[in-house]
Amino acid sequence: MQISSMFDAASLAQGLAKETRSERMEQRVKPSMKQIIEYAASLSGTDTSEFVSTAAFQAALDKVGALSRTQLDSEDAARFFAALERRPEPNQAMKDLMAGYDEGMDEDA
Amino acid sequence: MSAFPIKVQPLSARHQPSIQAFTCGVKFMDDYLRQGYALEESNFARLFIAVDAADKTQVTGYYALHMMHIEARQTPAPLSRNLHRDAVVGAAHIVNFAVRKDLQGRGIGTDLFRSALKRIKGISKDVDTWAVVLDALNEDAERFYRRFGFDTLASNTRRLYLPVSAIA
Repeated sequence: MQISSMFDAASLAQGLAKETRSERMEQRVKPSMKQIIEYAASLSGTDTSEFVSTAAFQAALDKVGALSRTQLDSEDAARFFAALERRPEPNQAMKDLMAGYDEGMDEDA
Repeated sequence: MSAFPIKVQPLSARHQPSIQAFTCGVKFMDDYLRQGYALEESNFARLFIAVDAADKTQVTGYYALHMMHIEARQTPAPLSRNLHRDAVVGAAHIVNFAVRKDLQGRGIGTDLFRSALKRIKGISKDVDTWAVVLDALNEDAERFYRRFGFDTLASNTRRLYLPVSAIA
């Protein structure tokens, strides 16, 4: 799993350990999917519910990690980094948009 | 300023009652807003709440900012000294733009867009932030963002980026 610096895994794990309450989550799956999941759970020596929630949580963490860190393949990367290096100026549409910005709109709490 | 004047504030407890009743018509965006406190505690993102300028207890929309890194799987062709040697740069990800369903079409979304861009431009002066990243919900949204110079980040997604230098 990729955890970026923006992702505070330690505090998340701490919070999880303190939680005693649990909530119900249900989803429908195809019979053959269910069969394979149950089989995989038994191979892992755990019950289906535990197996599913652990796997889904892991997938969720991976997703959040992926959000924080995006890898580009070489073609996309070349295009992206070249654009950054060009340091483009704002175009006319952008200038017009931001001309309508009202300084008083943003309030800090 | 839009036809419906708003103020934009960082998420706080006083927004909470109105958040419970908020809907923009896209469920995952409503859910994201209601999860706001949990997300902030885990340090995932910061939420900015649009409120009615005349009644600041009324939430009219929101966006969230999330810092991310963008990197090349392999280091691309020679980069100038301005960019990090490892080709990793910081970017500000605008996670959602949402406007309360009954107030859509009155310029609130545009004001939120302005607010987010302004904020990111400010951040970029202090912290390594090279690009704005956002996800277009559909083709219309994608066309809208492209007008301001946004381009597709990865060829197979609706995720778009704009170098911060292109923010006015």
